[in-house]
Amino acid sequence: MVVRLAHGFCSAFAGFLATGALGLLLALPLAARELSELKALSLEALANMPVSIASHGERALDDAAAAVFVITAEDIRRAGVTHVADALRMVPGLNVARIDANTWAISARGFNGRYANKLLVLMDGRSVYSPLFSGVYWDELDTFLDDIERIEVIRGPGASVWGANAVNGVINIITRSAQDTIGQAANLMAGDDGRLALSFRHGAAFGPDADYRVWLKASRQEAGERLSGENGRDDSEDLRGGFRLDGMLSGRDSLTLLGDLYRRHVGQSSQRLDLLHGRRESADHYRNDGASLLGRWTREYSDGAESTLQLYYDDQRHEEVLERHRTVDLDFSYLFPPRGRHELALGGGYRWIADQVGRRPLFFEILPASRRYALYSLFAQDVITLDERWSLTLGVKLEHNDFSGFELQPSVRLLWHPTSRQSLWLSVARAARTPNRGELGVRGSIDAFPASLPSSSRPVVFEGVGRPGFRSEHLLAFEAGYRWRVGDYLSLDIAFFHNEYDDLRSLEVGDVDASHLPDFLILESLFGNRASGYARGAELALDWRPAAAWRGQLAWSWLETGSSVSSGGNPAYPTGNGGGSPSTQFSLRLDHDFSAALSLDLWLRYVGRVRNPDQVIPAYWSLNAHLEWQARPGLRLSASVENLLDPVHPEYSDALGSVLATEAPRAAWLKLHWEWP
Amino acid sequence: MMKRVIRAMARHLAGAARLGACLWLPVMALAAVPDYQIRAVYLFNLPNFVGWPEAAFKGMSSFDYCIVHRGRVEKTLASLIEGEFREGRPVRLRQVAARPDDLRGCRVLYLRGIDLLERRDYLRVGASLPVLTVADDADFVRHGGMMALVRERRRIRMYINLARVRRQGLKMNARLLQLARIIDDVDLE
Repeated sequence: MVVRLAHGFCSAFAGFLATGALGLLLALPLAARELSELKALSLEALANMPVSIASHGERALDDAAAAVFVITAEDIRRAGVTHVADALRMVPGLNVARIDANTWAISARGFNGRYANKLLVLMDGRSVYSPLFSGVYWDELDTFLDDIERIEVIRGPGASVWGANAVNGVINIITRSAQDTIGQAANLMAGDDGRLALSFRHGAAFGPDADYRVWLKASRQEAGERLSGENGRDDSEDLRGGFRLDGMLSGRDSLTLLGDLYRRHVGQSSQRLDLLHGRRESADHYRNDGASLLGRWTREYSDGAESTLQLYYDDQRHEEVLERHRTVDLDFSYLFPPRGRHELALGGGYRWIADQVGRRPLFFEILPASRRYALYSLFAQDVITLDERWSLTLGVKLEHNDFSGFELQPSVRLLWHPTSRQSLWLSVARAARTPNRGELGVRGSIDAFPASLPSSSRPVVFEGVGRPGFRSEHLLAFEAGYRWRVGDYLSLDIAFFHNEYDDLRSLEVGDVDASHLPDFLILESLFGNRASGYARGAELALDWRPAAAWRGQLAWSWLETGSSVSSGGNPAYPTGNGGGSPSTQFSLRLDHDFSAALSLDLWLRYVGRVRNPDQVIPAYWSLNAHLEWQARPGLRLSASVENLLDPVHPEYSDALGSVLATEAPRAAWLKLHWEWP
Repeated sequence: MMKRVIRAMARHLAGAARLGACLWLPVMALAAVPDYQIRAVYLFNLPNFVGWPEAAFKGMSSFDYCIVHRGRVEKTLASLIEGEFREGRPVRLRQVAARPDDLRGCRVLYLRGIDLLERRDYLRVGASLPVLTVADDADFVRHGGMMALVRERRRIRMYINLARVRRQGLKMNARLLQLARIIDDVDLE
């Protein structure tokens, strides 16, 4: 057995060398093949070719003057990714860390944490950013994974287009048009760590000019182990479903309708500060659910103009903080027909949010408990073609929110193509992270000294207090990047950035509340904007396709951050700024097709040490192996082992919050994917 | 060792070819293609079905597609014609203004990304030249244009004003006309 395995490796390696060398000589065109296939079509076939429905603002990656990375459906399938958050691990400059099975800390270019607040995430045009803490409930972000077309990740500010909160990055999850998901598909997955997932999708034509799909997914996960070896009680059950309809209303109007519905039961071990009993560990189960409905109408005009009108409704409930928020969002954009050197786009949006937050006196409350607020914005962007090689993009977004008023977020981006295969870009942009409900009115116990309560001495409880005067955090970002398609077999993308932050959140010593003496003394920690900071770094992505059967993808990133607090007034310190992200990360994926039916993906990652205020997470290496076998047309079997190198390791700890982290275990799973017409 | 390398090489190449044949083609047959790609391929294929008066292009060193704007269709077309030859001449993409000197030598003039007034200028200048004028909307062929690549819900269909094509000395293949919708002028000149 071992001999045969060794022989297999040997011949695979020899094959790798041989085909690698051959690939370099032949320079197999991969991206261009698509067009050459089209080129060969007969006129009749061309006349019968279905046209895909307009994808708004579609631009070639080479034309973007920003650090963009695209995760394709193939990447997701080949890497054996089982959750959207896991897919993001292949993006350079993004730090993805699991706290427990249901809690994640994900951020770009620093500032990570469970409540990381500088990343905007959109699912098919719908913002999934929570106005309560300006972050994302990553575990709730799930769909029928095979129907994701691509995930576009923009590192750096995207505020001039996407608006406030697109500070350190924007993640766009885009699912396929219903036109491309005709037929049935089912997945069954089971893992030795107690994972079980079952999903089904049905897609069909809906009249002559439209298609639809409906999908359903049920999954459960058993609890993992805590850092201490105890049961983490982070088990979960998840049931969700959704639909998508895409159709042409006329030759120039297309309509997309999307909806989804989910319910999750999640377990969580947490450490709570109970003012009567001190720090206590508890295991709780929460029910979180949500629903959304989105409609988008796009019209193309014969002169090249395009208009889009989008409306969505979103309703989410989270039991942990007894919260519910409902959002209605209306967006409009108009892309003018190109005139001379200019391509102008204008747009506007209105968002209305109503929320309710429950109270747990002395532990956690947000005042007022219920609030309705609105946000409206206008944006303009002009792409100016200076000549064949140079283009300049000017963008500005003016946004008004009820908490901090107007925010002006401009950007200037310059793109130069020294040759048709190379591009060099520079950008300067300003972005704002608007206050969230918590920062304006939270009152919650965050720490105590001494840690156990009550004790013989009078314990001091630190209480975080949000203030109505809290302002937006601001970023001024300088970026530069270079992309080079060396041939059709190698491409390189490198980005550098320097971010200057102002008005960052700080905590300062406030009043002393002695009304609970002799039991305890409350020391208020007030939220303010007295911190400032910087982040700088570099990110590299390499994509190598030496031959049709081989592909290598490398991502590397380096980051340095720092923050300080202005002097004067009460003593203060920065919070959630600078720390929380590793300074070096590395990822290497190697893909190989042994035959038309059998392929292997090896994924090696390194994540540097993370220093949190209360804990240091050691650096770790991780290796995943994913084997895929196309047993017959429509039937695919895959097996995967995650974390091959380590039996268990921690990825993160929830520094400020209360979730007790569980370790990422070595786990193996099997998956069956079946498709039929 | 050498033999093994060659055998492995052969196996991998066969594998790659099979992969291409088995996975790629069926996907192509099913997947929808963006409209701008289809339009670009139409433009690319047109010369196979159109005849130009030879005399008008005598002495030309290239086969020219003329465009007025660099959008998605034009960029796709640019990559399609890379390294291609027609009538023994290299195929070229040229951005033109509505001037006779500019339009002379154009085989195909693709009018997209300009407003109707500007478009009329191009048509007026081009009216005396044997150039195939193409746009994306049906109105174009009724108001002075020769051909339009019109989106009819899920397909791109050719609309042709045959009378005008002939008047300007061009010929069209029957196979092309069979697939097209033939349109007449509405305005009398």
